[in-house]
Amino acid sequence: MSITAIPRTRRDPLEAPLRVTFPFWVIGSALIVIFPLYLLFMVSFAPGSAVFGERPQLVVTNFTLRWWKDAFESAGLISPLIKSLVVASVTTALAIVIAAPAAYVISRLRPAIRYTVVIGLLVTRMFPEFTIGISVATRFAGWHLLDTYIGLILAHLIGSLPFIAWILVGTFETIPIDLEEAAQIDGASRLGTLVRVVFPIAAGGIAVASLFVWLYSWNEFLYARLLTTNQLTLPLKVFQAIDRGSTQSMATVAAILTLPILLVVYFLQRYLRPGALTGAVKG
Amino acid sequence: MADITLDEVSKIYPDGTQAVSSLDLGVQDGEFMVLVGPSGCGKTTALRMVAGLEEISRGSIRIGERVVNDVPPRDRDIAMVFQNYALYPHMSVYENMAFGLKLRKLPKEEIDRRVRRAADILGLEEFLRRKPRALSGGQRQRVAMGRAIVREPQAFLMDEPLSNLDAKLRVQMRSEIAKIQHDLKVTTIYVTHDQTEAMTMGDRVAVLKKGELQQVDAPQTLYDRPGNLFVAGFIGSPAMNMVTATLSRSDGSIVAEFGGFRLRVSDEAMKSRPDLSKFDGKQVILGIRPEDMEDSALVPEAPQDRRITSTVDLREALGSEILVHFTIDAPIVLTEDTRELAVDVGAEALEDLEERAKAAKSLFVAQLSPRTRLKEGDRMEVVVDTNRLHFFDPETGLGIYGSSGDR
Amino acid sequence: MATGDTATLTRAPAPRARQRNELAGWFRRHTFELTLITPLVLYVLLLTVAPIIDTFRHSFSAPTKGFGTFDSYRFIFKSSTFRHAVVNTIIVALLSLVLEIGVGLAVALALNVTFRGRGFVRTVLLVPLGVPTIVSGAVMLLIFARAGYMNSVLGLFANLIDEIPGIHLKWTNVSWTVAGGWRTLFTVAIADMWKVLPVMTLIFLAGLQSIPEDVYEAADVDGATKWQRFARVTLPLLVPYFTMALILRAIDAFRIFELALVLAGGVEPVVGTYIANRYLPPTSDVFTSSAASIVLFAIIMVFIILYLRFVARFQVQR
Repeated sequence: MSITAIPRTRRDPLEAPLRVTFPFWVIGSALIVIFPLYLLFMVSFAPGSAVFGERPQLVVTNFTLRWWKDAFESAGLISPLIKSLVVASVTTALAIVIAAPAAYVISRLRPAIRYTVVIGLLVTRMFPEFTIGISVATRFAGWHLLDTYIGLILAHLIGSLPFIAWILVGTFETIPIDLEEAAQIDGASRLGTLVRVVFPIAAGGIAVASLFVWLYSWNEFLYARLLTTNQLTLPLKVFQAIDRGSTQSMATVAAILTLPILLVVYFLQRYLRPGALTGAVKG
Repeated sequence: MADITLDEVSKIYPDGTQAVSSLDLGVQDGEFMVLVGPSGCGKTTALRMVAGLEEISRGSIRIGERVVNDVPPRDRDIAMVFQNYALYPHMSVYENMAFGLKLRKLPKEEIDRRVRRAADILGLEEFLRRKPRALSGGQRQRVAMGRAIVREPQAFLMDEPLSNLDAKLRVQMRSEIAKIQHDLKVTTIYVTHDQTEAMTMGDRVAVLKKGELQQVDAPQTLYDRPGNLFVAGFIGSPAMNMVTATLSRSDGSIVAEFGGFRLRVSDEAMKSRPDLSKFDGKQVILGIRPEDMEDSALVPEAPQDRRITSTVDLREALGSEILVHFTIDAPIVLTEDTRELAVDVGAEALEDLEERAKAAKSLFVAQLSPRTRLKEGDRMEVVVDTNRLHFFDPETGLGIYGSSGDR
Repeated sequence: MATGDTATLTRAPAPRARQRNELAGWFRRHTFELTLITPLVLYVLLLTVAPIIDTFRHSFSAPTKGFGTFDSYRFIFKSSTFRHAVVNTIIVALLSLVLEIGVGLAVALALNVTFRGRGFVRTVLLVPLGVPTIVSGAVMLLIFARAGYMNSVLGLFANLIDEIPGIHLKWTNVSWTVAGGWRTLFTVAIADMWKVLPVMTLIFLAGLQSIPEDVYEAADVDGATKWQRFARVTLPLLVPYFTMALILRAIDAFRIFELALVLAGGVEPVVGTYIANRYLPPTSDVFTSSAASIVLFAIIMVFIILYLRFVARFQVQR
């Protein structure tokens, strides 16, 4: 028995350059992402002299807490902070209560109908927020909902509901119908099946989806701008600082808005599987 | 515990497909009834109608004294074991088993007692705290069984519960489930496509084809006296050889003639099939099970009128036996039943069947003793056990037995 | 079922009545599902569909004439600011899409390689996931202001090169944001790219991880080079993810508002800022702002249709 020797393939021309440049590639990626955030926090702690002039410093050693103190003491930050927190949290809770049961029903529809409904939900997202927002703002003005928590919560649900429903349809689809049947045979009612079997299994997906809704509401600017005249939210506060504040106060308010997000994302990032956002791509 | 009666039960889906047609089936109290048939024969649909997971289009189902057509699954007092086990992934093994009892508001001590007893029966004690994902396939299967056992229901419904296990484990669980059922004496309906499972586990076996019941009988009866061609071809592995033969009378006994061979039907076979005499001079379908043939070299004393000769096409040594494939110059049997059996094997098998029907050839398989010396290409001669010949009416496909109606 | 049969024997009910019965039966069987889905349906109808219809109506209305006029569209298309805004919006959207997909894919490719510390780098890259758009704007102001870090870094770089004998290079600080023109649009696109980079990375990473290893092994056995592996295996299999990323992002890219407001508000309008200016006081014009928002919707639809017609048809069927 003889085996014909397979000639070794020629050297891959990309092999060596790739190996050499790969670390730079990785470090470069990380820098692009992280450097602007670093700047933001650095400036919020830096004395004014360090970051102004022809050559602002990249590294600051003499930190100051002045801007953070200023922000909390003088700039009226507490009420926007509370408004943003309450609106984001209530929006998230309501979004789950409204969207999760509906998403379950959608996920159990026949595939053709389910597909149509999901596309329908996504089509609402193709409209510019303004197309929906200016009519909503006009209505809310008539209903005296401007500058109220409830008005902003209702507005934030507009964007959140289709999104969370879409994500959760993807999550519920993965739960085998067998499990529901087993629960029914075990003696659970329809609602009992939902509450004791389906939702607990989907808890991970629900958590990720609600995280996204919370972030969306916390960050939302456009509806807030349309529905607010003087009860600012935090993002509006940042805009105010950009518009008429100093560079440092802008950086500080922006940092305050960002900090909870960084913490939330850091602690939850292990749940942010790449698939979490892309459930609809496959199949 | 209770008996289960299906009375003229049909399932018609909204798109018009009829999954089950007028199924009449009585399962006695404590009986192990197996529903078997090729995929798409309606066996799972029938089971799901008993469970209440599928609406009953026509007819009625009784569990015990109660017609359950409009009773939701949770009130039917039945337990089900699913093909994929359907264990709740967010609950431990203990919680999985206790779930149904908790929902029924049983006292905590009672739940604990039942779960521990089931765990003891199934050897699951050390896994009670684990989540299903930390279990092997066999252990998951046991948990699924345990979940059914603790319920102490009127009936167990099992939907191909062993089909996801590997072959060795399947054999082991097969006997375990049969033993548990036997000990607990719970009425059981067990769905499978595996005829070995059906034969080994069932008190009685119901064979279905395209939503219609073919035969219900004890396993050995199904094997010895199949009611029609479909049952004959489905039960037994390798499948029964079938060929069109002509019956004629000679020397006072009946002779089956096909492809140039003459087999004398034994007196014993005649006695158990009095109707056979009506087919004198007519065509019948002759069935010979592979295991009812033997290499003539090993039984030299066998008479001439029991022999078939051909050439070995293929030899498969299985250790304990040797399968020999050979061709007979007689038209293959092409009926709706045999087509259906070929479809079950695969599209290629159906093509193959039709190809051979055109060429008027039949492929035979004989299961011979490992002592045979036959090799591929050899001339061969096999002796047929003519006590065990099977005969079917080519018009109806029904088995030819006595006129008294005993099948 | 059985009662239905006897009914047909005795007296056939009027077809209308039977239809009503069937409908009632369907409702009765699906009470549970209907209860669960109704809140969402109502919400979408009342606070999404109805407002959209309102805005359509408004866009074809005028203060004195009422419904049925093109006045608002005529007005905005005559406005040079609006025409400028449309062009700017398209430029920024396309520019940021190209940047996002390019950089997002590059980062995802890097993260798809197994190396020491990958988990850490992945964490770092995901941390800005939820950074608010408005903060993205503020950060870019820090970087791209005249006395910002972009100029500073470019200046340092120029000085380094200047050290090389024979080469003379000096960087003069430029203003990126208020200068107007391509620099400002570029800044907006960069800001958008930075904001969505983690999401794009996640999407492409999901795509890369969905490609089974054995496909690459088969390519290796066939003697493919690294480049061929990438161009002939990775890219074609990523097409569905490109489509998803593009459509999701394109919608947002055309709707760009906050970043343009912060970074280009003074000099370069986009459709979003134009709408806000028309709607909010002091202009407070519902009609022209509605019309502009409908035009923006039309732009988005045209883009998606073009994309689906000409690009997605090459999608690999899986």
